[in-house]
Amino acid sequence: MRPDPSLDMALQGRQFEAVVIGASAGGVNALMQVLPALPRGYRLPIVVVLHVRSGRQNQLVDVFQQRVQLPVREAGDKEDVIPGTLYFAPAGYHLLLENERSFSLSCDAPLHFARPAIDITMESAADVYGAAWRASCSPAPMTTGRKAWPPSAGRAA
Amino acid sequence: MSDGAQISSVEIELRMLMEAIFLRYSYDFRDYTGASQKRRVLHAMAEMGCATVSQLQSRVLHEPSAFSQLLQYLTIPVTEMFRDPTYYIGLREHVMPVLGTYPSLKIWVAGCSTGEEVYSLAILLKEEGLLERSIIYATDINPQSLEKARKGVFPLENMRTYTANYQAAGGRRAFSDYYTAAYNAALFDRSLCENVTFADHSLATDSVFAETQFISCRNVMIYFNKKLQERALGLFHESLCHRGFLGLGSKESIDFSSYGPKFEVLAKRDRLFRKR
Repeated sequence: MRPDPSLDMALQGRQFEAVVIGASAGGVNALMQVLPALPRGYRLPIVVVLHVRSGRQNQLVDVFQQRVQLPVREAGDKEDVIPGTLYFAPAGYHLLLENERSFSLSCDAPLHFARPAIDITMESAADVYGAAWRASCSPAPMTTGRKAWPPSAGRAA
Repeated sequence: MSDGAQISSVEIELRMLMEAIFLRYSYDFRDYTGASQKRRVLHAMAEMGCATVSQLQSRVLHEPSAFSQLLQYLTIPVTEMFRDPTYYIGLREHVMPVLGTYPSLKIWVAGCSTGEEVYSLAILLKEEGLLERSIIYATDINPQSLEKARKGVFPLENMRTYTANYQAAGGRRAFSDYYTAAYNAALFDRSLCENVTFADHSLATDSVFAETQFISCRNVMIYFNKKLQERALGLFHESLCHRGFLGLGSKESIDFSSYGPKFEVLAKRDRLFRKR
């Protein structure tokens, strides 16, 4: 899918610190098309929250590590967010970003039946990174009330 | 260049709220992780009809009942019986055989919330023939959670999940042997908590109260920053006897802590450690 031209304009001249991607189960295939294209040495951290069954969640790191040129890890509690690394939210926990550019986990109740919940990671990323992050939701944009930009940026692939 | 480098008004308000709570009520949330705490406070504000954190702070300072209400949001209890069944299999394999060699046992469930894990452990100890010689200290900072834990009454609708967990955890009987169902609730066998002491204890402000052989503290320290995690692990290390056992939540780690090298890893996936 070609990027929306208005997205290109909105991105012009902006600096980015992180990429946060949220997707439901169908997003695995979309990510399999997008993420392997990233070059070794890609400099942003990529944080992915997928709404899949928790059994499958545990396999994401292995599955993607075989195809992606970046180091792939499950995001760990209080770990620093390392640039150029692809992170997946662990099964059964919400994943949040902290001001110190580190991860934290939470066992708070599922949100819209999901844990990890995309909204929770997105909101905390918006707090930490402000404008300097990209949000993608695939296939359908989530409504989060976050200070995300641009509202039309709901495409990962 | 990031906005995050500057402290936002909400973050200033949050810090002041936690300071106010500490000074007024001696509950110390100042070293809890920021992002989760913020979510919880924003949720409380919405539920309590406060437009700003400052407004919430004012209510909390002037109305003790508002603080009790806020405390329920700050310490949202989300737990289940036999959560992560393999943890209990790990306990059966690695920990119970050693605990069986002690004439009497002291076990600490730190941050026990509404007690689901306490009853799970009691069932495990009973099946291993160790419950009668065990004293379990079940501690939490939330008095309402402790009261629920004491009662041992859980929603009947959860029993299907708990039964599946129990079976996956290597349970040896019918799970329904342990509770009586009535009025959509499951009342757990009182004999399970005959030797359980439910008590108010804060990992942030209180000290060690007993020498223990096993401490289970699961999914509590994820809400702490590194400094407070260090304090909690210090308490556990001090409380545990020589070669005592520590069990943590499935995504928790002691790698970052200065106490990391003071424990050996018994079962990595199940987060079972043993004091060196």
